[in-house]
Amino acid sequence: MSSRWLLIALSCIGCLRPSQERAQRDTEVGKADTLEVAVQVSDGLAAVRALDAERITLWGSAPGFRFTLENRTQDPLDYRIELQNCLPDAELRRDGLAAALPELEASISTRKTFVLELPPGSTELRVTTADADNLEPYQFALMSDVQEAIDRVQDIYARVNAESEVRYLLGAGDLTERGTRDQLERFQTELTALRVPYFTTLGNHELGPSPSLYQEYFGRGSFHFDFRGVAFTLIDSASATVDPTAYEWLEGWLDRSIDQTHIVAMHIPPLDPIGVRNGAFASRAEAGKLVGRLARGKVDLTLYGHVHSFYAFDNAGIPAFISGGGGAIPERFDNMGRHFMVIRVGASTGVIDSRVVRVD
Amino acid sequence: MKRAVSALARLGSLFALSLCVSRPAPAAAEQPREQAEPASAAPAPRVSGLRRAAAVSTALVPGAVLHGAGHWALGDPVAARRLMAMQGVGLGLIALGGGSLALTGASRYLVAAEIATAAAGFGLFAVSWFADIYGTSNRDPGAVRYAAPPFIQTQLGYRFVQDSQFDYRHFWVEQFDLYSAGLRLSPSAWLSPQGQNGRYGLDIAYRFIGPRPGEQRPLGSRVDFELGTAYQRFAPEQFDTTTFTAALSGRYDLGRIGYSMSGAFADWQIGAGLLRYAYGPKRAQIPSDLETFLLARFGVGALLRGPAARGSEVSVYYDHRHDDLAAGLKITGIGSGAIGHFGIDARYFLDENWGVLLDARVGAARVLGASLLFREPLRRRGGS
Repeated sequence: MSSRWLLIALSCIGCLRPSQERAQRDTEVGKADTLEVAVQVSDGLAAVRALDAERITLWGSAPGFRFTLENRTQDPLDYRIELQNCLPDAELRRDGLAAALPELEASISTRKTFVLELPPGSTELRVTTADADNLEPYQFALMSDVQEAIDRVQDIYARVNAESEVRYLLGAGDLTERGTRDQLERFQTELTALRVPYFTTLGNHELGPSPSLYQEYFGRGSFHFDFRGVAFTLIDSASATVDPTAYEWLEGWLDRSIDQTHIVAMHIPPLDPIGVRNGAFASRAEAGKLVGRLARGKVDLTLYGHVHSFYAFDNAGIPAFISGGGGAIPERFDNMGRHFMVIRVGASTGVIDSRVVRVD
Repeated sequence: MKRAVSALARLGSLFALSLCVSRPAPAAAEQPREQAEPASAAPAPRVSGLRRAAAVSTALVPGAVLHGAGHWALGDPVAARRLMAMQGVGLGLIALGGGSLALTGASRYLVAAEIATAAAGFGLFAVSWFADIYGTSNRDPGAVRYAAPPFIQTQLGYRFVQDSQFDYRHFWVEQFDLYSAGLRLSPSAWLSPQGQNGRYGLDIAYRFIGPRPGEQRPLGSRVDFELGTAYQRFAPEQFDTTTFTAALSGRYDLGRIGYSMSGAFADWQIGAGLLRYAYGPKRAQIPSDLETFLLARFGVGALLRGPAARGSEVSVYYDHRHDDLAAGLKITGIGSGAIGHFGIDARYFLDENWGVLLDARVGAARVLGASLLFREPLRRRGGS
């Protein structure tokens, strides 16, 4: 009784769960409906950008995902499915059918359009690639913290495009200066020059006018996907904390992936290698809780942004990289400048190697 | 419940022990000397109620922008100029520290100095405004009564901690401050049987400047050098932390700026620490982590008058620590993670020995509670 009253009184002061609303919105990502059509993306791995009786546009947050389209009318619909931010070799399959659906020609490598006849009732669909079950090692890149350097981001994308073996670019947030609609639109426009998709979580710079805008555009802040036997978990730490709801998800993802190669990425690192800077969690106790849990979950690699430089270190024995080389105000005297990382991983080999690619 | 009772019993016995070790007052003991007037300034002339009201208003607006404006209105240009100078230096330090942070992108080589400079600037800025408001509203500066540090002070209390990340809610708190000449030894314990959490600390301090036990000085300024260590166990979360800190801390009596500000003070601390994380379970053999952190704290406060006994005071403060129970504020946006926490500390002594402490802090967690205070002054036989 007394505790409840104390909680009510104290709730007027400060905010203990600044990312609670975002965590709740995460659960709504990938769901939309109209009178004629409804869609539900499994695990929220794509944001629904447009939906009507003739077409749907999905922005992917992962190399592969499943979704259900429900035709609520009595008649079949000639339906157009546009995938954005997908792998250049992505395919769309109906569940139970071996053949991929035919696609229309596209000028942007990360956008694909498919046309199908949508029968009344539910249709299960799957975005995948031909090599999705190949457990051989592959490469991905990591780039974060673009912010005000958006005018120069094409230099970085050109270098990423030159890395022909990179399957996709992973991001640890701070794509924009303040997360306004204009800035998110601009970031999306610039991405069309990138050969591969950009799967990312958000950073504290995306929390300007309306944190939910980011989720409208690029999907969940906290999510998990597998690709070629390697598990990826991206966590929303943009408010220098992880919401308890996201911790519940994390528990499940860690348990599910304990025997896999598992890479965890987030924007603000729990611990800053330069501790006096406080480019880390607001509570060091929470940092200890999270890092210890990742170690017990046998995570193979942790990736962070937020600090505009490059750091290689360990947290709880897990190799860690901070790579904030997207061009935002750089840390001086570090001899680094704009950069991104290329990391080679495999299902059975774990993290094989990594290198920093300097852009300047 | 059993654990809670057991922890309470342990703390109760410690508290009782502290009462036993306090020195009995000799029959012929002399009470601490009465304080003298602050040496820095002469008593201010009488001010009419209307003028004082105008001065207080001026200290608020436009005083928020021009610190010292209230003292101009009060007719104390010397104090006003000093406050304006403090504000100017504060703004300069904010610009220097903040500007350097922006220009160097929080460079690993400069960031500690940059943050400390900016924090000192904010401290001076806050102090100069507070001093202006306090000084203009202080109708009787001569009524201030300073207390000599006690030989021993102990507290036994309770804190409610609301933290969205941890299950603990209730802490029993016990702390001693044992003084001997310039040395202070302060063991402390925070126990939460419900959350299986405990924080145990030990601080050792040496006072370079300022009153020592039994000494009463006309101004309350002091400077201490502190070494501290704290161990905190998070049993359900399977980790623990150990901190080591070294800091200079002190109090500046604002009566040094102007007589009208007698009874107000500014507290400060600057230092650094090392934080070690050890992760469980032991069989997992998870390597520990080591992290440096910055100590920077500033606050303002005032001695209480009226029926309150000497040593009663209230202060508000900013503490840059992120490793304690309150930790850093969770703010959304560009400053995420960087800011520390804010707090209020109010001590009210009923008599020479007994008092209560109210403690409230807001950071990543909210901490609220009270303690029973007991102190035993150092008494001297026959004269000063």
